[in-house]
Amino acid sequence: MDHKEPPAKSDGEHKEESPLVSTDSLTSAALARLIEEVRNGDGPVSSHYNRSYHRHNR
Amino acid sequence: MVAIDTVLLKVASRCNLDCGYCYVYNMGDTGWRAQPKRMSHVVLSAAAENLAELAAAQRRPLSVVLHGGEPLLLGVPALSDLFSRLRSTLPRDCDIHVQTNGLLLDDELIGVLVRHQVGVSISFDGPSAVHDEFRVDRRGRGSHSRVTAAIERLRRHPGATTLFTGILCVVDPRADPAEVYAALKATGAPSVDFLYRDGNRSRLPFGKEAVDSIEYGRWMCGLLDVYLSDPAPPRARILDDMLKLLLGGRGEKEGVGLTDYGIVVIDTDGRITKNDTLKVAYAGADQFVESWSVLRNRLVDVVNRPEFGAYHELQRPTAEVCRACPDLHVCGGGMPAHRWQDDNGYNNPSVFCADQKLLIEHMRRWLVRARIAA
Repeated sequence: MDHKEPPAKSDGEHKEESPLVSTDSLTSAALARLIEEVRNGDGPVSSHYNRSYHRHNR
Repeated sequence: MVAIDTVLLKVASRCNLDCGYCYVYNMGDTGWRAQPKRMSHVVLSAAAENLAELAAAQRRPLSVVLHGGEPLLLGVPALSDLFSRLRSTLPRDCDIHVQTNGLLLDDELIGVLVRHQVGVSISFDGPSAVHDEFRVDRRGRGSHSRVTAAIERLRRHPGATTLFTGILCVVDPRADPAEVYAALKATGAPSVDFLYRDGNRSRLPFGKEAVDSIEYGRWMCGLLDVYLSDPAPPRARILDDMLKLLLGGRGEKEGVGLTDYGIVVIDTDGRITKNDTLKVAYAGADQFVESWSVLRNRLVDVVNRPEFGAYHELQRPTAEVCRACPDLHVCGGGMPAHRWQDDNGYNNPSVFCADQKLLIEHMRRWLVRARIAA
C-alpha cells in the first residue's frame, strides 16, 4: 500500500522559528498534542506508568 | 541497583485462546508446560511481599501487570485476594493492571477491578476478518464478537470507564491500516498500541519476505498518515513515543528510544525470569542460569546480581551499525529478541530495522512539512 504525502503548510501558517512550532498552526491534532507535551516537560519518563505507558511491549 | 519499573505477574500459565502468533505458546518455547496452571496462594503471597520490599527499597514506584496466559483464569476469589494484598502492601503510587483477551470480563470481575482500581488493557486486532484469523479459541472459533461484547460491557460499567486504559493490537501487514485504526478507535479506548508480529533474523516474522524488506514499515507509514490526519485521535503509544523522540522528548515503551527500562517477570511457579518476550529468540531465552524464585530469594537481592545486570544491559544494542546509526535515539535498536540471529546472538540490528527506518523517515517528512525540525 502507498502512504500519502504529509500535508504542506503555507508560509503564512508558520508562526515560529522554534523547533516546536505553535500548535495553533498545525493541522494534525495528534502532532499538536505531542508538541504540547514535549514543550511542557512531559518528555522525561515518569516515575511510574499507567497501563498505557508501562514499559513492557506486550 | 537496577531500577524496576514493570513487573509481570504470570498468574495463569494457560490461555483460553490459541492465537496463532502467540510468543508464549506458538513460537517454540514450551516452558509453560512445566508451570502450574495457576499461581498458588503461597506464591501470590511471596510475590506481593517481594514487590512491596522492592518498591520501598528502590524508592520508586513500579507497575504490576497481571499477565499470562490469560490472567483472568486465576478466578474472581484469587484475583480479589491478590488485589487486596497488593493494595495493602504496595505504596499508593504503584499501579496495578491486567492485560487480558477480555473473554472472561463479566460484570462480577469488572466489579472486582473497579473495587481495587485495576487498569484494564484488552488485546484486539481490529476488524473481525483480521482479528478472527489468528485470535481463535481451541475449537478454532474467532473471538471478535466476544471481545467486542466485553469491551462494551467494560465501557458501560459506570466505575470502569477510567480503568479501560488501552487496546493492544498485533499488526497484520496484509490488512488495511485505516480499517484497523477505525476499528480500534471505535472501541472508545483512550489509548491504542501496535505490536509487530514476533520473529527474529533467523525466523522471519509473519509477512516479512526478507530481513531488509519493509512490509511492516509501509503498514506503519499508512497508519501514521491516518493517525496524524485524525481530528480526534486516541493515543497511539508506539507512534507517540517515536514522534516525541524526534521532537526532543523521551519515549517510554521498551524497544524504542534509549531510556533505560527495568522489566522482571514472576512466573506462575514463583520463578524470577527475564522479560518473557525473549522467548522469541529461542526456547528458554527468558530463563536465568541461576534458579531464582520469590519463594527462596528476595527481588531486592536478585536485581543486584551480576546475571541480572547482564540481562538488563541486553536492552542496549551492540551492533556497530546500530551504534553509529543516526536514528538510534528513536528506534533504540528495537527489542532484543528481534535482534537475535542463530549464528551470532543479539549482536545485530533488529529484523525490523528497515521497517523502522522507513517509518522514522516518514515521520520526519511529516514534521518537515509542518515546519518542525527533527
